[in-house]
Amino acid sequence: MKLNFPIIFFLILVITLFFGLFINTKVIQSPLIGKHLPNFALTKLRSSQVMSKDDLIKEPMLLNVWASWCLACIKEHSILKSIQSNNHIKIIGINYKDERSDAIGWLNIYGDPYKYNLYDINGEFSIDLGVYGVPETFLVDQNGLIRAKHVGELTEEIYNKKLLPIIKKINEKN
Amino acid sequence: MKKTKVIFIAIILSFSNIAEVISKEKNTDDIVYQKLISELRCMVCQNQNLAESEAPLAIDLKNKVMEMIKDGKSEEYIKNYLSERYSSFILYKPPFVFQNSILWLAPYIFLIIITYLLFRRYLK
Repeated sequence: MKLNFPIIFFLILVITLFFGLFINTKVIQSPLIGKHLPNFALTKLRSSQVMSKDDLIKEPMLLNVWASWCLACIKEHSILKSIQSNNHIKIIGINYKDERSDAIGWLNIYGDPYKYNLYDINGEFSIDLGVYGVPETFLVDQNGLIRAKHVGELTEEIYNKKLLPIIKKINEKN
Repeated sequence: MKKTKVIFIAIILSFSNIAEVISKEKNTDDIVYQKLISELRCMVCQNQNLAESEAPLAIDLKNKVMEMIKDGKSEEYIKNYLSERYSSFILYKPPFVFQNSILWLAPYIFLIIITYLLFRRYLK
């Protein structure tokens, strides 16, 4: 017993720390999941029409935070376009700290999968959404509840594994 | 000569008093602001606090903190506001919750165990 205690303690420590190696500390679980989308008043990117939370469509949607100066946004753009062309779910863009002309030019070059874009010039709504790096993607259901969030570039694998099952679950209930 | 000196000092002192009263409100805001931004983590440069960071998001968050202080929001409110959005990871001093209770309690548990081990031989 005298010998065993330190050895057992040491082994527990080794096992705990070993599994700790595989925890990704860069990805922070959003505390907003399961909560309502915060309210906002933003203009659309292509017009001066002011939108608020109540003007959003009453169906599931992806909210994609992007900017024309963001390189990873170009990379994830093809998957957004394929989601839109497959008619899986509507995508609404949040253009983050950008120039209107730059953003519209960017959409002309790379294509526009968004139903429309909200223009968040000073990033205020994005702070309310806890955005800390573009691109970020939120899955919002028909009641305005945030169901999932992905930080960083969206890939086909992440979309199929993380977002699609939740989208299917939401659609089944309706 | 002495009289004029006294009057002179009295005048200076009275001015400094006025200035103090005027700047007091501004100062307490500033103290709270400095305290808060040194206790909040910059989310994009994870080992810096907001005060040290010049990252665009850190500047936005600092402005947001200043704005909330000017609106008369309490320190507690501002910390809650940010951790509700960015998770308690943004706080350099995380709150005591179940998930991290082992980290908070471990030093005391070890203290008890080690004290027991040290004094065991004297108790016999």
